[in-house]
Amino acid sequence: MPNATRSEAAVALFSEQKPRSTVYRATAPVVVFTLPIIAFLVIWEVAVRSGGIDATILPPPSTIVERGWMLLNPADLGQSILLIHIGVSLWRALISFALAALLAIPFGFFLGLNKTAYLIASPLLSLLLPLPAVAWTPIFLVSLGQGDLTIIAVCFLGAFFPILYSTIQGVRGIGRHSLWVVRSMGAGWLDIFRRVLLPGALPTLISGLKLGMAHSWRTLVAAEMLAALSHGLGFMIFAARSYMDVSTMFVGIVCLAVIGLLIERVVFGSLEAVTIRRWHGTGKLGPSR
Amino acid sequence: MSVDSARILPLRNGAGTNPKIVAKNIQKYFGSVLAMEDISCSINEREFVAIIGPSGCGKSTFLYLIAGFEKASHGELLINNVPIVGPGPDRGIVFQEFVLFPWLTVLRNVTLGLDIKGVPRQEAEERARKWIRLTGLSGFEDAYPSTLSGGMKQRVAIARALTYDPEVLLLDEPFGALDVQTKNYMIQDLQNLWLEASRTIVMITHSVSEAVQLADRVLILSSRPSRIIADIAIKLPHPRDLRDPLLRRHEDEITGILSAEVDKAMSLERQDSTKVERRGS
Amino acid sequence: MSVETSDIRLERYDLSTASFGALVGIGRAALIIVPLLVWELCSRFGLINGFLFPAPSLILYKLWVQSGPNGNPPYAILWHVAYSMLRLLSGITIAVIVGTLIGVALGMSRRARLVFQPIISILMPVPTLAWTPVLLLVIGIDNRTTILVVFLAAVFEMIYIIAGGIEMMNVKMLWVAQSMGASNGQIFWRVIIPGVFPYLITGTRLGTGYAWRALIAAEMLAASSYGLGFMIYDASEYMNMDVIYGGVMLIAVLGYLLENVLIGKVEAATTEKWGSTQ
Repeated sequence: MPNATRSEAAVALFSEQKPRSTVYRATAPVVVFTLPIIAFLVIWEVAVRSGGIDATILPPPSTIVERGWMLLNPADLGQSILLIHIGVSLWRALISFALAALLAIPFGFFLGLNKTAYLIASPLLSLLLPLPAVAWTPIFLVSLGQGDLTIIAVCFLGAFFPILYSTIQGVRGIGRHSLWVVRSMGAGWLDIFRRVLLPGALPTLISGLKLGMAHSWRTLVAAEMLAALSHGLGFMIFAARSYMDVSTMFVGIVCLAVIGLLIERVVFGSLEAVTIRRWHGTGKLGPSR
Repeated sequence: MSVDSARILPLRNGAGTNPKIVAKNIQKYFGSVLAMEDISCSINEREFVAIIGPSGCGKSTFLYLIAGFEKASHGELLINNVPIVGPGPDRGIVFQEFVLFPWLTVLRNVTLGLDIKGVPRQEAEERARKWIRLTGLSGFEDAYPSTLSGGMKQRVAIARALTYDPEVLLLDEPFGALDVQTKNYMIQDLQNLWLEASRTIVMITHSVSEAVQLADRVLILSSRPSRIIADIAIKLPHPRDLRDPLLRRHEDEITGILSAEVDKAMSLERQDSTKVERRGS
Repeated sequence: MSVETSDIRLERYDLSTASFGALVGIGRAALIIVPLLVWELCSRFGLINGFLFPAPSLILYKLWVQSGPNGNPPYAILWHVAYSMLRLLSGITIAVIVGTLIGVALGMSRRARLVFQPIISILMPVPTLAWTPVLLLVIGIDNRTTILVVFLAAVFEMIYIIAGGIEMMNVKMLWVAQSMGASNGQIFWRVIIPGVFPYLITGTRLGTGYAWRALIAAEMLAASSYGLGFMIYDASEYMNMDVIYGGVMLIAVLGYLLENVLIGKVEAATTEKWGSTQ
């Protein structure tokens, strides 16, 4: 559970399994999920329009959709400022995440396998893990100034430590017996890695990647608000403040939520389906420890 | 716990003739499944009634109906001539899996009923200590449940259920989670406790030997949907010896009826499963 | 979590316990001290930019001065830490109370879950910081903004974990209390709250982790005068690198203490004594 990212945790809040017909099973989850949301949106809309809630603080959903549409500029998507913001944010998040994974995973394997190194490094690691990545922003702001480099550096740090930690846990969690079995078959290094280490550590590793991505994404928003020059969802939301433009802010929030959900469910969901669920056969979307 | 086994104790004293719990044509559905078809019986005050039946026949359900955790779909269920509408301090319960509160010591678990009633701490502890002694838990008052063995946990559960003096004691397969040796020891040990704790007791069990050792009456339920197919009185003094030929006869009689019922239930299941196979799902 | 380490030896030598322990101890000390020493020397001798990387001794000195009466303003560090901690504590306390109530309600009522779970699952993945500009517009630069950010960061986690914990609790515990004639209030305080307590601890720990991150960021954006986040952001505007590094170190240490030490103590006193509540 500590490794669950927030959106998957939220969605997995309950799963009921009762014998029902196939049609019911296909449509029911969708209906059950969307109906309360629609009801919520309707109540929201009515509350604001009737004057109960101040529209300058909380605009009605219709206004937000309108603004979103305007920013999206579907007539000429090439000029869509919204897509540009989204694209820039995604690009920054992806690069920092990829770099973090590239460095943290091998390093994690090393620390996971070498007990001495792990013991030496673990206090420092425990100190750095709870450190908010945003705290590095001022340092980079001074040395690198505002812009992409600072943001990517900060997000990199945000993703690096969770991935490192999870990889270590994953590797250390591999039972001795699996290794003994393969070694007694005369396996060489590469074989051991392919057949035991990688599959054994993979569930925790993927869990760690998910967590790292979530941290990176959250750090990105903060970093963009502080250090972006002109683009990015975080920047968009923060800049809208000077115009008292609440609608744009909410458009940004909605985009963040949707993208966050998509990344975790679609990207990682399919990754998990191919690996974890096929091997371990759990029906739940839960994290593995 | 000191048991003077040489002393033959009289019959469970004063098992009265006034009905305490009355069930009239009880029917219970779970969704579309009929669990209990038509249960009618009358349990007298201070009687020890054991209810036995094949697995899945709904005997625990009947207990939960009496306890008030579930409601019957049809029929009447009365205690002291008043309909049962929900759980209450007049009916204490002991579950198979103990269900102790792990954040409370043994003593506080046992005083729980009195604490809820608002009885002052001093008095509550005094009354609790009496039952702790009688259930053989002296010295463990300040222990936490996680440190106790299964048998001891069950003793705590029993002490807890007795301390606040409910009129009726309901036992749901109380020895089911215990290993055979502990179980036998408990059954021996507790026969005298039941005499001390003279009140109406309804016990669910799937063990015939348990039933004949402890109960004054044994009700046998059929397989689902359940009805009462036998009501056997056991008029023997305590402590009872399983080797006693009289007891043996009761045991055989009950076992016979029960196995016939279990066989019937099995064959029904087999019929169902072949039906499913042929449907090809 | 006690874990089996793998059997593959990458180490070159097999060590006995005593000397191994000594090696690890030395290694740990070295890992911290050696880089600091290298940093110190390089900075002092101009091998690296002394401005961007002031020597650790200077950083510590600055921290020391700023914590005392000669600081600018006096006791500055203490004030910054105090404000941050206060905001964190307030936000988390509210989050625990609200989160527990909502979590219990959702955990016990399937109907409530059906209604609210979709909405929560949409709101939960929104990065907490995204709400800050809205709050800034509505409330302005104020302690309330930062406290609210902390609250938002922690509350979703609490709700999720507590609702899950309730669902896993044995309903028979409730039955036992009911069969003793307990009122709803008694059931709440005697059964539900103690039963859910381990989850409350876990939720608080995780929530605190999220909250600390959100707080530091929020203080950079929305604090007017005090707080560790504010301190380092403000320092960046004046390019006071020593203050920045000092602040980051403090943030790291405090974060560590919060997540591991404080909550670990509470855990030891309660859940470990109780065993499982299932």
